[in-house]
Amino acid sequence: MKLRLAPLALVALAACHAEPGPLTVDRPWARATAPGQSMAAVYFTVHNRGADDRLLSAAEIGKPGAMPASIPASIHDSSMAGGVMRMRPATGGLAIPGGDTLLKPGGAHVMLDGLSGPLEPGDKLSLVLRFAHAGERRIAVPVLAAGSEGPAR
Amino acid sequence: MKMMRRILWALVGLAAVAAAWTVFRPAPPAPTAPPMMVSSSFGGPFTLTGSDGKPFSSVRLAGSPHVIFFGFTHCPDVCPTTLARLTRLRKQLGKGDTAFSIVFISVDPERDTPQDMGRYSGLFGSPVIGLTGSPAEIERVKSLFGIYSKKVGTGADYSVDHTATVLLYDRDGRFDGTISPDEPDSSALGKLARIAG
Repeated sequence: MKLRLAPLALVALAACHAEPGPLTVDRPWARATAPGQSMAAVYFTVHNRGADDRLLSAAEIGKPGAMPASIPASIHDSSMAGGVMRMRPATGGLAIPGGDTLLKPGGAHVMLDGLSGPLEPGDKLSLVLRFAHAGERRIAVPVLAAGSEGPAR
Repeated sequence: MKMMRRILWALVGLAAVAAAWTVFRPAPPAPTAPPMMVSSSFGGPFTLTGSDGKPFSSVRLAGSPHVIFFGFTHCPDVCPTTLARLTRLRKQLGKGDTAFSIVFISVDPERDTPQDMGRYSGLFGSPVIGLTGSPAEIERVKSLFGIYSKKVGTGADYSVDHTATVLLYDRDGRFDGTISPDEPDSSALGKLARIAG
């Protein structure tokens, strides 16, 4: 049994240590929500060492047996003018130029709309991000306490 | 002579009409853009509904410095961010939770029930007073505080554009400035320290 698993483990290890492409996503996080809240925001940083790209869409991958199967996700952008905050869908996606793009509180974020229950600190969400050129990136998003302002440095 | 008198009376009449017009002429058209907060004082007494479903009078805020933020619980980004920031800054002040009260008033009374406000306010591990009310009561309080808000989008998932400035009040209930979402912590902390006294 153990011998048969060894090659599989080696392949898995190799995959984990594969050379990252020019576009990587890290420091994902989401805030905990209260019961009754239907929406949550997911934040992360995109490091783009390649050509200008575009984040086209995001999708949440529900856990097996989850109801609904997945939480509708869309890219939104908050902006302020004259002291008034507005949040709008980022139709056409989000520009991801070369360098770092931070999706953070008060700015662009992935919005989950249709939570069936509260997000608790310690939960993990699985998201798939689709970029115009870099293709798909899967991220595991930890849920942090609502008072958090980002993942630990 | 009669002709002269008639002319004079006609002139009096004209003068009366002119005087009436200057007093009663229509007001200039209302601005269509969201108003900038330029008044030097905002606020006033109000009664809304607390998260326990009972009336909450602003009299309960008297004697204690407080900050007021308007938002809604269907707000996934700006509102939790602001409340997280305010609770963190209060901790940083190092004078305990009674340094100043944090009041969170809904601009979405059609969706935000007292229970919603209570649960949302309870997320931050630090006291936040969540208030809602009837649409009419909320409109009145928004006017009192010079707050703009507007429903955006259709369907059940609408968003609400809203003034995101935090209003500061000292322990005598006097308006003492604002904190903007993009203001650096150092500046915000100084303002909070001032009202906390």
